[in-house]
Amino acid sequence: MLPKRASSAYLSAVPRVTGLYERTTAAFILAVLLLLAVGVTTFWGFGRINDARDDRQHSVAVRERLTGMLVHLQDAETGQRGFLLTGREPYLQPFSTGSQQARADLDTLVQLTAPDSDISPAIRALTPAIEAKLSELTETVNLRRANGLNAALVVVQTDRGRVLMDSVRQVIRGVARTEADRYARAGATVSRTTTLVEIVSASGVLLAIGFVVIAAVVLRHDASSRLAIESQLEEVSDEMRDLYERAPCGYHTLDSEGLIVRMNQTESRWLGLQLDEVIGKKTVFDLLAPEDRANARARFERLVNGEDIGTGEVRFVRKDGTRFAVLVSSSVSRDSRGVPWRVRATMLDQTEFRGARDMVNRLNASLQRHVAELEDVNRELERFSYTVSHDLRAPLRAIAGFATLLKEEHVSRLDPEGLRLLDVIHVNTERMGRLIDDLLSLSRLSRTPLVRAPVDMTTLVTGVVDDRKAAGSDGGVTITIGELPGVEADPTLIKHVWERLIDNAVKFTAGVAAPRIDIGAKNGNGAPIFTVRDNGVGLDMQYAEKVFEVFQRLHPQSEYEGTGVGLAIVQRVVHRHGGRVWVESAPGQGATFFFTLDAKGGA
Amino acid sequence: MADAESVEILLVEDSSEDAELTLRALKKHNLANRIHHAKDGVEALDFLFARGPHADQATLRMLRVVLLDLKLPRVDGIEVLTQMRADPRTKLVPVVVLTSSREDPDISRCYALGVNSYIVKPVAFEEFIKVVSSLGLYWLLLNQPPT
Repeated sequence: MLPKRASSAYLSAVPRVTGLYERTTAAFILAVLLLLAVGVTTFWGFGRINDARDDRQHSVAVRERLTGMLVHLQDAETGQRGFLLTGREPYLQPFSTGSQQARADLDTLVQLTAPDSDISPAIRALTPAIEAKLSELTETVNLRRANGLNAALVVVQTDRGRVLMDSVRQVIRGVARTEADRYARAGATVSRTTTLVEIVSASGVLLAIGFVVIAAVVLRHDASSRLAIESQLEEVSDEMRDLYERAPCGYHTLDSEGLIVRMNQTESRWLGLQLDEVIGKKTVFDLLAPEDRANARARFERLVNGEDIGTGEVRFVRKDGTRFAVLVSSSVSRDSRGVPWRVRATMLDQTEFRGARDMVNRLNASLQRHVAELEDVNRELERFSYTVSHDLRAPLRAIAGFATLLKEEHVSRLDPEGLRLLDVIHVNTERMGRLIDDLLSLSRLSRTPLVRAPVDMTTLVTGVVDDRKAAGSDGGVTITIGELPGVEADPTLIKHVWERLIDNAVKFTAGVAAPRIDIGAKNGNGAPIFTVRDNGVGLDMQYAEKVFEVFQRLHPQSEYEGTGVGLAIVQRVVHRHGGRVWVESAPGQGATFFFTLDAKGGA
Repeated sequence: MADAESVEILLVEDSSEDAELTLRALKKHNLANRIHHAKDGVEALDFLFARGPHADQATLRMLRVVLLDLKLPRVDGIEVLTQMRADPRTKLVPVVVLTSSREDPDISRCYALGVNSYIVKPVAFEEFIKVVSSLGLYWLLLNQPPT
């Protein structure tokens, strides 16, 4: 079963692009709307410009016609004057042509002018004016032709013709002015509208481009984060696949009939089968031990029917016919309608588990045996200590005691050599007594439980030194005690360390002129290093390690008393505290013993 | 060896050498005639409770101190001490345990059982004499017995 929760946890780490679709769509819609607005504006603008141009053309046409009409009217008048003056018919040619054309111009003007136009009244007013002028001209021409020049001049002199001509001119001027205004207004409209269309289309297009660019940038960014997500997804899915395939448990997925649709490598390895031998070809029941099949099928049915069947144990049969038991735990996934779709199962190989459990049990048993053996050895050691202390000391006591009695009560019968021999016995019994005491002490210090408590080293060392002064066992040595930091240690055991080190230093400064022992401490890597420095005989560094071994002596017994156990006790106690002890020295130059009570300390 | 009536010190000691040395030390201080020496726990208990060979004696009244070795044949020192402390007649008799070593695991048990003192027998004879003598003098002369 693939851990779904894990995968979603992985994906939540990937940044999400929220509302991307909405934002880019909005940008595109805005761009389209802008372009639409530009289009509408342009269309409207061109319409308006066209209208204005039509107005201008119309205006030009009206003015041309007006001018043409006036010219033709003047042509007609000129022809009339010529005819009036000369009476010659050819002059009537321009007169009639001018009249016709003036009338045609007027017709055209009427056609050009819509009934609701502002010049329509003026144009309408022109028709009678022109007709009046033309009839005046015709009248004079007819008078000239019928009654001669004077009859015509009478009419001319009435000034009616001039007045009529003036009124025509006036009307024409008024209309021309109106049309000139219209022409100018239309021109202004054209240029205004052109500017407006230019501004709207330029800014609209620019904005639309802007929106498209923004959308493109957003999409591009989205594409790159999609790529990142995809590569991360790929990584996660690789990891999932790896986990799935190589997990220490078997995984398989079944359809609702029990047919195997997926299986991890671990399980196929357990079975000794290739994946293509099972996927889509075998049901899980085919792989089970025959006697387990019915039960497994029943459990499967119950699981598919929604029952909780917990964890069960089944036996699989490998390709080679051998069997192995697994613990199996299954779950059902259902489609949206609740119909069972897949059954996923996790299996733990019981043989490996049992093997491990057996191993743990075996190790445990052997550990317990060892503990018991150790306890036996320990008890044996304690019995040995007891025996040593009693059975070795008792005869020793007798030897020493009776040698003394012999010396005291039979002194008269002994010669000096006899007395000397008795002294040798005496000295050696004492030495052996000390040796036994020291050995017991070493054994006890190794066995008693270590109980750490805060220890005031200065007080402790001062006490030890004072004890020696009081007992007279300090050998008259000058002993200085520097500042000693407190420690967490077993006070009883640490006291032994100081006692043995100080006694050792006293012993080896015995033959020196101004014997001196300096006790101090220095900081070593965060933990104190305690030092006992003497100016005694010192020792060869070649043997520096040996001084801490039991019974190792660097000097003959006759020179320095000692059992060879003291420094072994020091080392034992220091080691039990997790510390280190060492010595620096040279023959004849004194020795300095160092010890730490912490693994950190020391260089 | 003193007669039973005048015994003030009971020495319980299986080692004849230690016993002899102890007796000699006490003799030096003229205490030896008041000592009874028991060689094991059984003898000590018989003497203490006036039974067996000591059935007709009444020594309890006079006993000033018991010097008790722990390692004894038959009945050991711990058992002797236990029985003494359990019996009202011997409950208050001072007991000094003599031991060969301070390593003895029984020492703490002895204190728990109400021993009055314990002495490590020194190897050196002079010291041994000193210890034993001062013991005798202390318990015979200095210590006020419970009455």
